Amino acid sequence: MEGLNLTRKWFAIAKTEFFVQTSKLRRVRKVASLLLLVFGIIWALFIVPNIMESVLSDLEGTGIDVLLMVSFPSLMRSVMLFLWILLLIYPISYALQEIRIGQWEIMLSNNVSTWDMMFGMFMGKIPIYGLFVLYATPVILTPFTIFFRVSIFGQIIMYFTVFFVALSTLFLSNLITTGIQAKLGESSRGNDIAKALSMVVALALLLPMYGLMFFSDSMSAILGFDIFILFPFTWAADIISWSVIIFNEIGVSATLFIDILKITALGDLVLILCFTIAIIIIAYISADRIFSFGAGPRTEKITTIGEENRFLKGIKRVYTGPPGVLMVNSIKEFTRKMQNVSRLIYGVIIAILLPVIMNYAMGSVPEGAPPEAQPFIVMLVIIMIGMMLAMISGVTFGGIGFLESKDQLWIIKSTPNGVWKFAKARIFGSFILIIPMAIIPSIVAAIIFGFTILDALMIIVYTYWSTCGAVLLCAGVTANNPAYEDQKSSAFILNTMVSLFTLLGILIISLMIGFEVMAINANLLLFMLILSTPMIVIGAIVYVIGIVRMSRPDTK
Amino acid sequence: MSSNLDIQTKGLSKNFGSVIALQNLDLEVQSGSVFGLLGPNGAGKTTAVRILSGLLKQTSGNATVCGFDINTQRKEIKAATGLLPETPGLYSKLSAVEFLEFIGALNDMSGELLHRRIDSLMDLMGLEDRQNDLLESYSSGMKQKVLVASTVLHEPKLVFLDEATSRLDPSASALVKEIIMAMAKEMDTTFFICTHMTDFAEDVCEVIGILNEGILNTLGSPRNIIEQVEAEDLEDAYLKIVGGQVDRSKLLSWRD
Repeated sequence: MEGLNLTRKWFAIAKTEFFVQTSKLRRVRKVASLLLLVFGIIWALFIVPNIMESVLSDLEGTGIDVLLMVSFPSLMRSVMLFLWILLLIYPISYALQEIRIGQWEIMLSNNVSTWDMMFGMFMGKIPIYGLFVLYATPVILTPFTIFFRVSIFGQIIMYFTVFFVALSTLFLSNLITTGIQAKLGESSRGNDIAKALSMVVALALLLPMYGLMFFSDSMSAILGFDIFILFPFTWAADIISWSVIIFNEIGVSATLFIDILKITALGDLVLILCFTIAIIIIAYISADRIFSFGAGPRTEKITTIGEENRFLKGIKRVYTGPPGVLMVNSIKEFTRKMQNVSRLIYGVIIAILLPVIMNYAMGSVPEGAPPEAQPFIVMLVIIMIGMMLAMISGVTFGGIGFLESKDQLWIIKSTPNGVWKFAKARIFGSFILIIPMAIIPSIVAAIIFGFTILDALMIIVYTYWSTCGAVLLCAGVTANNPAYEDQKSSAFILNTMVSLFTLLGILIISLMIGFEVMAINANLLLFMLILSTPMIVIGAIVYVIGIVRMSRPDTK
Repeated sequence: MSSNLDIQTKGLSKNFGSVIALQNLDLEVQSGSVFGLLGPNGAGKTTAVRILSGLLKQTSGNATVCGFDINTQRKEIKAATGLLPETPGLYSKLSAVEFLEFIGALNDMSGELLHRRIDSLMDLMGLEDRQNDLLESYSSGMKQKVLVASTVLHEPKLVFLDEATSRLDPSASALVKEIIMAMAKEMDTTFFICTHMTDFAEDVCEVIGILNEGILNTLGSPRNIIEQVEAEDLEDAYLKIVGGQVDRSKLLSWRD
């Protein structure tokens, strides 16, 4: 059991992990960490309790206090579910943006045990996520501690439970990430697949969760017990709820909640401890297997391309000569990257799910509904699908998918008018790829809501038009401040934020103008034109400015 | 400016903030010659190439490349030159043929001529068996060969090679040497080669300039430079000019 000696090797790994995560603050790392910690404690002990105290006193007699009293165990489960998903998904998604097999090879060649590696990586993540928990937990727990006047001992148990669950979830996510990374590292396309997975992982975890929430009643009826009691976040939430019941000073009795809290406090505690111990044992046993990635990244998989398909040949026939070659190669290069494709699939799935969820939530339009109801639903669905596709396509085509590296830009710039030729090919290539993206969700929405063919066509045109505008805008933002494919760079983060906020701003303003016009002249076509055209115009301007700036010789 | 000069610079300088990357570069490169710019890492070689190929603005000074002004005729310079950058900016998800098609199209080439050239270059580089494989699976030497092919694809009058052979094995390096000498002799192509590989420069270059800390402090034929500093070969001459002689007494002192 060499690993359990916990030599200083794990500490060196944890420290490095922490340094990597805080590299942006490297000049003020110690001061910033200390300040954040001190402020976190002040936040938890003074700021949040005071704010919550005044908020809750305002709510007295509004009925919300009664709701809180009756439903707090269910509320606690929802809050813990959210926290659990967040702590599980985000570290996986973040870590998958970069395969780190090369760093593992260095560690292993320095005679570090696999358990030390796993434990060190986990410990290195604790400060950042610990701070997150420090800031989030008071917001979650204080309303309950104040409302139920929970004693200090009860509060300590509640806080300790949240921290413990956060740590065990982080350990689980660390184990999953390491396993996936090791598996993907065996392929030369590992980085590509990992980036694709980092997008899909959220969907893969969120969809079953949504399903669970929607169908929990029927599943519970089939199984004969509450389906939620199978999940660790429920045990943690129930421990907190039991703490409230046992240590409250307003006389809340357990008998009120016996239908929800089916397991005793001790039972929940045993379950969560067993779960955590099981994860640690699995991690310890599997550490050697996870890190034995054999030939590792050197196991090259060679992809040989076949003949061009009819679609690409068709483009070359329409756009003859160099422009056609540039556009086709631009499409090939974009679509062969799994991360690009996964993002687009993600966008399409969300856009398809929207009308499904809306239909589920609102019910289909009743027979006797007023005639104004139908156009209103059309508008709502159109707007939501358009916004979703515009944002995801914009960030994908215009952000990461725009340029791979600075060196690539040098090559393009070294040819006469190269940047303009590239920009034209890239944007028209994107416009072609957007076509199926706009069509599929629009048709699904049309089928679900029983729209006419004309309505469906209008939705397709609007969705396509606004998505093109978003791609122009986001590509323009990137051209003005190239970030290439480094998703952790400050330029990339800035571009994404600017792109999303600008998109939202333009959409909201267009929407407001659209509604004003609709009040005067209820013409759906005009409404959609108002909604999408500003995006195209502003996007085109930003793109042209970006390309002009990009094609200039560098000065630094 | 003289018509048989492909590069002529006057007081060319570039500063990046307080860092002086290039200082008062005065240089003339004859048409059809092979010129080598030698210097340690960070000496300013890449900066010089980027300015001369129209990618980077100089802070002061002026230059003409193939008779075109670097301030006002960048498009013409790009059409007349080819650049092999220091770090390969290949598209990982394109095959070698697709990448060369892309570069050809950027240089307004397409059709039968382009494909014939691509096939011939792939054959010459010994990559014909792998030409349809994605570039992500190529070794660094193979990538470099593809980049060399992309640089000469449109038959430029002047070729800038920035560390062209640093990633190549001896046989591939010899192939690039032969291509350079054949193009210079048969096609009158001018080569401007940045390198820190003295043996390569000694074999290929007719004239060599040694750049150190942004200043060109030696210029002449390899033989001339060796004689000037009374060195045994170009590497010895380079070390004498640039510095970097090894203090053998310190070699193992790190163990103390």
